[in-house]
Amino acid sequence: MLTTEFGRILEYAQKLGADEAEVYFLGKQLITVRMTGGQVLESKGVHDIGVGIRVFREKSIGMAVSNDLTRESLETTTQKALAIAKIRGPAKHWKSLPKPKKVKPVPKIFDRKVAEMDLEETVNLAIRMLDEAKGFSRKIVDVSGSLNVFTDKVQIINTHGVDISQTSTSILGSITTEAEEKSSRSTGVGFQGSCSLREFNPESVGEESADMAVRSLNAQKLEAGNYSLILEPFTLAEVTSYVFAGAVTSKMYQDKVSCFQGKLGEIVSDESLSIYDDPTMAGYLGATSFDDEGVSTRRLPLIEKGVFKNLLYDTFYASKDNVASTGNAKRTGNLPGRSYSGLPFPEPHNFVVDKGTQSKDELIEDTKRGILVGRIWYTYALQPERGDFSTTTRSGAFLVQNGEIKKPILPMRINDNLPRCLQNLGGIANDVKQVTPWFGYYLTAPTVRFDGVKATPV
Amino acid sequence: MEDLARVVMENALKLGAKYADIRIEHSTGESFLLENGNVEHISSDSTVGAGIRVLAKGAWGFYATTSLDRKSLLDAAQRAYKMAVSSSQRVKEPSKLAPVKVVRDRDVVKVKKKMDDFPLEERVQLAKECDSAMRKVSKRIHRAAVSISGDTKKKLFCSSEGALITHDMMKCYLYLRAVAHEAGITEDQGQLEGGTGGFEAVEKKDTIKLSEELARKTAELVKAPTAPTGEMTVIMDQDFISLLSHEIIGHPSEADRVLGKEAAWAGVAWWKGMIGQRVGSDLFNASDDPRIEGGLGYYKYDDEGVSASEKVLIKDGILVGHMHSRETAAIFGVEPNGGMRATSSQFVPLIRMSNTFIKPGDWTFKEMLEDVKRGIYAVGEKVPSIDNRRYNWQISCMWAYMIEKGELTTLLRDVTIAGVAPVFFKSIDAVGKDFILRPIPGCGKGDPMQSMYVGNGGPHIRGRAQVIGTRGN
Repeated sequence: MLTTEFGRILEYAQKLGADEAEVYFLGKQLITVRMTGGQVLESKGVHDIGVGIRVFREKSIGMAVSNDLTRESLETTTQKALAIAKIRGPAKHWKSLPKPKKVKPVPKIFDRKVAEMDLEETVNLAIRMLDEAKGFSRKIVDVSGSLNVFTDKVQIINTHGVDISQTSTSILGSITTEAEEKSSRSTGVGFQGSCSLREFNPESVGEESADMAVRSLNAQKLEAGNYSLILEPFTLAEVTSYVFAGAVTSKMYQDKVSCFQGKLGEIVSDESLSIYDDPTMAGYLGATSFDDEGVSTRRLPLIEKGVFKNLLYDTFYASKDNVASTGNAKRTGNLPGRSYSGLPFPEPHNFVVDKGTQSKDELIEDTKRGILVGRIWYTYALQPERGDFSTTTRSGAFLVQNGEIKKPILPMRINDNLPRCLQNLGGIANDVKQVTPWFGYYLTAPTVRFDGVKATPV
Repeated sequence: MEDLARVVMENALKLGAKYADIRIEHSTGESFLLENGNVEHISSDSTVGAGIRVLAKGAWGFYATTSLDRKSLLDAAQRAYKMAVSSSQRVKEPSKLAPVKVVRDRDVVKVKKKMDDFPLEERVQLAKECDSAMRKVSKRIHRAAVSISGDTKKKLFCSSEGALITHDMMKCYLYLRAVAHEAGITEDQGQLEGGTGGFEAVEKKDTIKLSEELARKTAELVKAPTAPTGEMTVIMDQDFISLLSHEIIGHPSEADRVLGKEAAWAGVAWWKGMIGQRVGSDLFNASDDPRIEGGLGYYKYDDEGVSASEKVLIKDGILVGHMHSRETAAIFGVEPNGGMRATSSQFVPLIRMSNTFIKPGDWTFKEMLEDVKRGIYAVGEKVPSIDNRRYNWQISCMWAYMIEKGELTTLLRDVTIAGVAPVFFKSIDAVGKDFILRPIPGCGKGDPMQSMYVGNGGPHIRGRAQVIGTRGN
């Protein structure tokens, strides 16, 4: 890529007095097809390139961002980063930017067919999701959704000799379907993501969504009470993104606002539960051989057999605890995928929940009084330091009684607590799927059941 | 750049576009976070970009680029046109635009204190003073954080109809956070100040005093009891009302939601088809108005070049209007009212609230209290939980007080208020005259999601709602 030019900028930073410097380059090509009312609403393309330049002078850190890659602009950006470092003052704990280490490439994260997909092909892929949902049943009255296809080319180069690059592709398809029968209306959701075109099945997205909507018709109100909450992967992803992720992030733990505070090495959940961050799974979204500082990634146990094992670290927060980065530095911007605009911060790449031995049907058969949920939303940590959270069921909610799915139910609000839910784990199925909620983190997980969860009709 | 923008628009028409517009932007930003006296991080960005929107064969296409040379912009226009043509496959209802007056004007936000007038060193110093003030208040305060950010944006809007508008914007925020802990109880409270304009928006309040007050209250809360649970009379302060007006009035008033066009992610609106019907008491009036100077949702022209105006949403308890794009205005058969905004040139404009609020009435806070035998005074806003029709809501507040025999008595922690939109709106029996507009900078909508800055607020409001004491210990 632009190694020579970026190398020159590193030399320029050192000439101006930087002890260490880093250039992070990202080039992104994104196509989004949005659908609503059973037709394509709009097609959008974004071509975005830019750099984030970080400099360190006597442990003082400065970062500046620009998407003007002319030499003059890169030099101005470097000067700005150094000026910021001077104001910031030293981070006494800071050790060093990453040194070069052998990085094992993760296979199947780039598909040339995806990178070279033309617009017509992309729109047709979106229409296949749409058509499958529309044609599923005469009860389907509305279909909307989106297809996001993007390619990220990243390059990281620093003054210690790290010079690493990677190109990855992603397809994310989502469909929301509305069904109607007499005076009853219901919705369903379908999602699929993949790095390759071959692995992406648009019809399955439409079918999943329409099937959930039709099954959810004629929902009835359920009384308030304690239920076993059976979360399908798309639902669990809201909880892992918006409640669990913060609790295992080093920054939150250092700030003492994690609900697992002081419990590293201790049992925090039922021993059948293991949760990892795994960016090494070939072909899975979020897979990457190195993080946004160039540190090689690995399968990181967060909770293993019920024991709280690790926190997510980038280099900055790892140096505060005098440990090594876990390869979880991420820069988050406005668009899906990687970004050059954000500061590195420890975040998950791809949460993984180990599957259980029973099927989803068996998990349901094993449930006395529960709620099966396909989609929740407005999931927030009310009190992150305690793990209190609230959420509302949105689609595919059913009453389960004595092992059988009895009837679809109207929205319920759940106000409960994450550590309590984890300790009251009722079972884990083996129906693993990778999903992501709206602007959340990837999750590869099966359906999971938590017992004794408080739910109230809304 | 204006000449190039016109050339690009002419070119889009030559390609076959029925309509096109371009937004060319240069944005800068500086922000930092200070925690317990130490700067955690500082960042600075400077970005340029252009987004071109094309309507062709009844469908929309859009392309954004960070290269602003003639060749790149002409190429982007061609790509946007191709996007529109591809989108047009199987279009049943071609997109149409309601006509608007073509505007050529400038919108320059009044700024007293620019970035250079209040250098980063001085902002960091102010943050250190706020941080120190918070931590001095009580030993229970074990964490204080202060963040100050300033953003500028120069934007050129040009349409194929001849509109040519330049925007020169600036907005600033100050965020204070105090965390108190004692005997197993942690209280974490934050407060945001700021809006459109220069750093005077941040300095207009006595920030040190504000920091002390936030920390003092947070420290007191760890010793406070939780609230009783049940339906009761609730007086909500302006900050609580800001989130309520955002979630329960602003979002369902976006015409694209009303039409179901946001059903996939952001949700729909329970009052679809209810224009002209009663949704609240006679005292309930709500509007959206981008023209409020200093409000975080300020603008003079939206991202379709439509002049901003007051959008009356609810009048005397009757639902009377929505926020519109030119396209939804054509569908509803109403005048466009300038509701379209995009977070940056990388995104298409969507219908977004600007400054959405409940309008003031004529009650004083004292008069509101006097009538209440037993109730709750809800202060500040924290976390919402809303169904996707915006019908049933739950919002946690920063803290609350018991109201007993017309007086504020016990301070309460961890209180959540819940209600059903029309039931609550119809229960409103007192509306204060003490209107405040608050900044809300992170409102999500669209796919990819756009995070938008808006203003929300209102006066003190009294009504009936469910009170939930969130936790027991």
